[in-house]
Amino acid sequence: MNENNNTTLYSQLEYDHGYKLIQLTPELLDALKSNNNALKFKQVQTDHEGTMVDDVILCSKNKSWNIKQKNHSNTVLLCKDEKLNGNDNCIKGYGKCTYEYETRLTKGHINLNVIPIYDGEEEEKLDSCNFEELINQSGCSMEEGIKEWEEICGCVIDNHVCILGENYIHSVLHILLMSLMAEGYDMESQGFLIAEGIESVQKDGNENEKSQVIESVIKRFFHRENTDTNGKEVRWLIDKKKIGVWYGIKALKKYASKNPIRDVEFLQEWRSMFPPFMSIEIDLKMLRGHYCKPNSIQGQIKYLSKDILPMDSKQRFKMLFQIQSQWLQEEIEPFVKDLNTRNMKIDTFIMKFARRRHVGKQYIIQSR
Amino acid sequence: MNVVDISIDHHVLGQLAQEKLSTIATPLGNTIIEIQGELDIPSLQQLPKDNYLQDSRFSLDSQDNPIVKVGILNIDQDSKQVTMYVGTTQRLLGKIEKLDPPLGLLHFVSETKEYQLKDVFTHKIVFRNRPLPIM
Amino acid sequence: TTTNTTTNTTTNTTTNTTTNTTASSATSLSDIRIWVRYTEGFSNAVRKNVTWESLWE
Repeated sequence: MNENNNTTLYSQLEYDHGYKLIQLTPELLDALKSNNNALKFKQVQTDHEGTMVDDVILCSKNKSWNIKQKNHSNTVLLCKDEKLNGNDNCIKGYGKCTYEYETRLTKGHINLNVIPIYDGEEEEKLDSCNFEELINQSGCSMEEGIKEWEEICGCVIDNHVCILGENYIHSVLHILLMSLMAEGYDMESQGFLIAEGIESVQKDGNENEKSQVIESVIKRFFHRENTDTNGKEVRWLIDKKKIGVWYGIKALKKYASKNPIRDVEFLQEWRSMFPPFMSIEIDLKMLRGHYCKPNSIQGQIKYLSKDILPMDSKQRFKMLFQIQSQWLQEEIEPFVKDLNTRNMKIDTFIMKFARRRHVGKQYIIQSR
Repeated sequence: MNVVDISIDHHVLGQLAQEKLSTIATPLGNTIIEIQGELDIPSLQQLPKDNYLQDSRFSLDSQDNPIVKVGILNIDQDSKQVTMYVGTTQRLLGKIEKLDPPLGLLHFVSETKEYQLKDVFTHKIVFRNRPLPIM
Repeated sequence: TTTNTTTNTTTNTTTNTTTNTTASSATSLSDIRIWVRYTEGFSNAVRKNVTWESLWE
């Protein structure tokens, strides 16, 4: 196109309808610039206030974007330089867009609905899909999927995906910790290889324990060493906080689900659950979001699972205040923050449904 | 479940690597022209089949697509002002605008059943005002 | 019945005109205008979800 003189504009009488415009936000542009970062459109089911709707998301190797179609009433003509009727200074309209795709970076998630739970029973046959298929039907990129998969202790057995049952995870973790200690591994600073972890468990009278299961448990409770591995195999270091919380919830379920328990007493029970000689610092704060302090009983706690609470904000606050009339803000926050889908400041969100009082250095939350 | 890949045209890849921010037309020769309103041109069905090409406004491009002459664009690169003369009666005043964020041009390729990124636009020409008569 | 007859006649006339376009083409061509129909106000931007089917539209 000649930018200082006259350019003649032509238009095709029939447009090519295969063209669409898409907003390229900086992250999306970055993803395009790294060549190996293949982008794809994925069809996913997303939860819109309780009903599943068909949606399309855009994924790179490690990021996901929500897409919205922004319609407009303007004429947006796609034109291309072309020599027409012997004239060099011509452009020709070949496509017309009535909308553009708006892209917004979002946090991708695995579609957990389709995954069976495996408890280690030999006779169970898994008929689920493989990991790649799981990612294809999930609203997330491959890297986001792998990360979440490790966090939920997902496992692939004979090419079928499954989630490990809670008790099963616990028994494998317990054996793993004891075996690693027996083998003398320095879990805090030296770490160990996945293969070494598997070997430790299997040689200790648990030769039937599946390697993939042990590997999933390692990835759930240990973290990769930070130093550059220089091409060597990555070593895994203990994540004491994750293990502490896991045993803590186990202890809450065991000792504090029917009746409340005095917190001093609870700490003792919690400590006693770890394998012998295992030193892990524990603090009740680690278990926020898993316990409540029932009304009129001082210094006692009771197990409370977020899973049993209503999904409606008003109803959830109402139920929380029935269980306990006054909450420390830090103690109620983890029970409600998943409902703050509009990403308000958490204080503001809480005050929409409750009264907030300043007492000393703390904030007390109670019903209006 | 469905997945469709978006490949990148290798010309675009080169363009992205150079970080070259072009103006109106992209290095690949594409331009976006936006008009607030409808650009009225006849459809092929509305035209008399056998002799519409006798009208000087209509012709065929190199691929034999029927095309119509819409008008003349006059671009002043310094002031970013653009004037478009439509037909013989209308004059539109517009300007070159920077796109934020830039827009990607996707094209569905039916042979490979995938989308291809054909170009990246950083600017467009916009006509927002009511057309003026040509005096 | 009267109304029906009227409608029929109109339809027939329309069909005739369509088939006869070639004959009257010289006038049709000169009637054709290329111009911009301006829309008052802002473009009515509406956002909606993208369905899989709409990718192929």
